[in-house]
Amino acid sequence: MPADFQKNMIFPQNADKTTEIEMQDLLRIENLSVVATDKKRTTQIVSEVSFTVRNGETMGIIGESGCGKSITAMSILKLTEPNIHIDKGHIYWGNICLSELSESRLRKICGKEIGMIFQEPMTSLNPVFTIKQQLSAPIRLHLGLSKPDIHQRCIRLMEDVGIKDPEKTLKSYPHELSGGMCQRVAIAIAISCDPQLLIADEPTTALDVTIQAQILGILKNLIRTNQMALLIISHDMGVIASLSENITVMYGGEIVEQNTRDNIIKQSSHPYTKKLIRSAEELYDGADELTLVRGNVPRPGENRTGCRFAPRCDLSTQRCHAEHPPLVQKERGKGTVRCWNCR
Amino acid sequence: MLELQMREQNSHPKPPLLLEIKNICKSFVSKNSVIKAVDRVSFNIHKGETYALVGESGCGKTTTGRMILRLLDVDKGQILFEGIPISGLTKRQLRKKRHTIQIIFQNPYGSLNPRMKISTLLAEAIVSRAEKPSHIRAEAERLLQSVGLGKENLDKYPHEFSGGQRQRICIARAIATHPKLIICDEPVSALDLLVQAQILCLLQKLQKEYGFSYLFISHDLSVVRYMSDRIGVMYNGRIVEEGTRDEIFKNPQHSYTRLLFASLPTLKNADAFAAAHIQKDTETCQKVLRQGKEHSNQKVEVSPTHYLLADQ
Repeated sequence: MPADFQKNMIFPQNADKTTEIEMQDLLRIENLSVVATDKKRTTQIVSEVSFTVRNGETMGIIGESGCGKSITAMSILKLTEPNIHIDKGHIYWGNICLSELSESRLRKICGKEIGMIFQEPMTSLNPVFTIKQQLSAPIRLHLGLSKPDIHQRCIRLMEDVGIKDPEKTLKSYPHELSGGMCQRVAIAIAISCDPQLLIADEPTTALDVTIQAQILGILKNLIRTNQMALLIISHDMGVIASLSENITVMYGGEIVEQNTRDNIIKQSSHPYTKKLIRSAEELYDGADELTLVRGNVPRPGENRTGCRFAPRCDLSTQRCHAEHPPLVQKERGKGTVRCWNCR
Repeated sequence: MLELQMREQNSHPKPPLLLEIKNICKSFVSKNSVIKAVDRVSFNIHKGETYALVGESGCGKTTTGRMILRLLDVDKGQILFEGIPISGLTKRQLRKKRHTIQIIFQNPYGSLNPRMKISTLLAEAIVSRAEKPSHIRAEAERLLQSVGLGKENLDKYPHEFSGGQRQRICIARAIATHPKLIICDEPVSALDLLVQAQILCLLQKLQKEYGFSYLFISHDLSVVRYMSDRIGVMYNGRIVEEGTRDEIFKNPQHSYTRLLFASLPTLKNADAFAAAHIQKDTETCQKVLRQGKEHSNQKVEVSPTHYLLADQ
């Protein structure tokens, strides 16, 4: 555990305590609710989301656009727009409550202990600085290495993410690189200070399938060799399935099902998860007919009574439309599910 | 209508040709380099058929689509639409012809004018058919309904719709001119999985109803498999393999086609997927890249409908 981690703790801990924390949850989100405010009203975007990521564990969040998965990830590091803020709930990083941390202390964790990769590789890099400037900034800031050491580390990082000609790439600007190369650089920046947790928000959505396969391979290797925990967010079941051990399914701003990957893929309970898996399988395996799910994703702030998925669900009963189901432990087997009809 | 189609199919084994593309080339010249975006590409599209161009970004598939629309001019080669060379048309002739080819763009957020109501957006396209002004609104309503949206949406602005709904509006606008060919340039890659399925089904339904042909441009093999009759795999500006859907999917011959298949994520052996492919992928990629530069013009025939480019 890095020395800074201890400094940042609210209560000074002794060495024994530290090892204990390592065994505990790395990131713990408790009952997180996020709202967006404008002049007229406040809209709830994420409601009562809880999950934990343990050391070296991988967690995937899947859901359609507008279901609040990115907002959840962004609010961990307070990267959301100024009008979007946490209403209720807490985010714990070890013993530190991230949601109550001051800006300056958050900056010490952000980028050092938690790294983040964004969706658009071309826009997440600064166009007016060279790759080397951007890659060495977090290393200089957080680790305080000397110039030759920084250079060496840069080269090593570039090799880690599979860039063939590191010296040349370091001198170039983002516009000179392809999308796949930019995403590799973004990954290199995110892991530059050996973070314990890497948050990847749709890391391959903007990329081609062949490049996507390479990036997924790189991420997989990195989390194994560096023993990082990974929180990956995507709308692509294939991407989530290839990287994560545990899967959280979100719909309409809340968690509808949580389970291990194999359970989700083979024996999911919630009708929405089933539909997602089925469409993914049909597309990947080449079915002649696709099953259709009628309707659209609910917009934030609309229809607060009853189950969010009820209007689109084939199994919905009157109770589904009237009462909002809680997220409960499944009676048979592991995992939690939010549905009146399957427990 | 159906009878007529049946008779046509009985008399000819294949419906007549709609679009013929013969050895087209296009290069983009910048200060110190020349990029061959499209290089000696040839293929045909029959009436009522869906032809898919698959490849990575930068392989020239969108450029090909734009040349068919004559948004770009070809450097060499010919594009025949119903037997008439498109490149030879004058501005006025082109204007008369253009409504027969329509395009659906990738990003529905960028392709609808945010300041125009849906009714205006659709009316623009309907007017090109010289419809009576009194009919326009009724026609717009009918179009919206045929893509699965209610007529109450006519007076809304694009920002009031979700991505899937916007793509439906784009489709309604494309079919408004009664085209014979619709170029779908990655129509679902910006959409969620469940919405993708909706849009793909809609596209198929409309094709059955109106009988137009699609040129389907995509990088996503799973989408292409669902949509297309024949597939051309593009790489580095060339079509490296072409065949019917089953031939390409069951018996891929070219190493690049195989690489594309290997990169598809699956749910079944998710664990094996990423780890196994990282080395193999880069190796094959480089091999393919080398081969890509050395592609000759020689076609190796696998079957009458299936060919690939030989390596030199």
